[in-house]
Amino acid sequence: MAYFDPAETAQVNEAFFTAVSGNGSGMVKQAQDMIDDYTRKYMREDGFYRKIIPMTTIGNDKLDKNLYSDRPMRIEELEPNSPAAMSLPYGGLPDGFTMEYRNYPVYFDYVFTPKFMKNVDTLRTTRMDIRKIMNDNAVKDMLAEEDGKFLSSCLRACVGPGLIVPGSGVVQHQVLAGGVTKNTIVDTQKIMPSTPFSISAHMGLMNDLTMREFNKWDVPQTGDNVAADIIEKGWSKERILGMDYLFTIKKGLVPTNRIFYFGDPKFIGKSYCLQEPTMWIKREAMNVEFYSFELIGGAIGNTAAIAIADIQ
Amino acid sequence: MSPFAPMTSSTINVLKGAEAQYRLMYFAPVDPGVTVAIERGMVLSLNAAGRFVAGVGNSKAMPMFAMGRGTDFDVNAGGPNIATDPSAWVGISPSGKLAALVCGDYEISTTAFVAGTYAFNQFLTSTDTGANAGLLSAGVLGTNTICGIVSRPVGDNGHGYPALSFWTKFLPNV
Repeated sequence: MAYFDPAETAQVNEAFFTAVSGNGSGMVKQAQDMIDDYTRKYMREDGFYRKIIPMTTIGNDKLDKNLYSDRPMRIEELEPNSPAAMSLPYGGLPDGFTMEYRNYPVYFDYVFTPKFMKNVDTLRTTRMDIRKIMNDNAVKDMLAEEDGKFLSSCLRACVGPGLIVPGSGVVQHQVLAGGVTKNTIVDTQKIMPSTPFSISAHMGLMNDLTMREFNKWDVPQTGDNVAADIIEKGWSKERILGMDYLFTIKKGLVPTNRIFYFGDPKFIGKSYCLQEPTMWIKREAMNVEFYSFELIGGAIGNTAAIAIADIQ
Repeated sequence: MSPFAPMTSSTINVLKGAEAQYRLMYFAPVDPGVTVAIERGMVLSLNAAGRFVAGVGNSKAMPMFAMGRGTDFDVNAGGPNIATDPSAWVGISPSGKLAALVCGDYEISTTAFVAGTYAFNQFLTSTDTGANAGLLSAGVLGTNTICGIVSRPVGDNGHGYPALSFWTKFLPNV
């Protein structure tokens, strides 16, 4: 995460104070462009949901109407199944197969931060980085909420530990014994390709405590150079056994010794943003209130592109 | 009511009271044990697990009024059962939380009531059992938990469907 130097911090504080203490008591103020820009910048750097399924901003023209609800939605299409080809003798004709495909919906809802309140006059002498506090509180809370919703969906998509997912006929949430060793990691990477859809895992996600287990790997698992590097710097690789991994500090969302695997985004589903992160600010006399919100939607259309490994 | 019923057949209007930005709202998921379809304007209350159930019955639970349907796209992603259906999808949004207006200083018009005649100042309650769970009906002060007082007789919700108007009022059964 980028941090601003003191001079720039003071400049931003001054700009924010000016923005919220300006004329027009009681008027609703839209966020200044600079504040909006800072919010969007942190959104790109933090959170893992948007790195796993990049979020696309769409407009009203991309939405689909529905007869029974005025809530925005979008219908997505899924690749159709088709039976395998067959070999036949002379005089034979193939079986008939009516082409069918299915759709799945993407629905939207809001993500809000709490509404923060402050007496503007108490900001006059503060030396804290107000922007950092606002961004950290607002953006990180929103990103954490996005990440939580996404992982909750992934857990539902894999049904449960040791349970077969009807869509694939395979257990996609496996419990593996043996600790976080090279062999176990290899076994976790095999879960997703083991379905009939043969999707290769594109990216893995684990928390930083799980990642630190790699520091215990010795020379036979890492090789001489990496082992020497570990002693000095600790585990620093983001690519392990041919796959990219994301490491998160959000242990509440990604428990220790659990690894999520994701296929290429085009195999997973869709993720959209209807309303970019926006800050609402209101000033009445000496009091200011503000919160951030966004309107996003997403869906996992192909559950075979998600796999989970719990390592014991 | 069918999830495919017209949007205008199930409505709630806050006729008087705080503006939208300042209303006392509560957000919670609907308990999986609720068997009735949650429609706009239905009476909800919280169970011990902090989830919405339909109606208040004779309990001392705070009445709340559903601002959306349980099947709305910002509440429920719906779809086939992932545990049994090979064609199931999984919605990342929505969160599963329903918005409800907490009983307070409001006059509300709702289509979620048991058909009948209601007089001015009649007490209203909402049973928490059976097919009418969550629907407003005539209540008896001291016997039922009161969640409203009739302000206007049954009229039209503006779209051709009957609507009952009342002031929200919480009078627990004590």
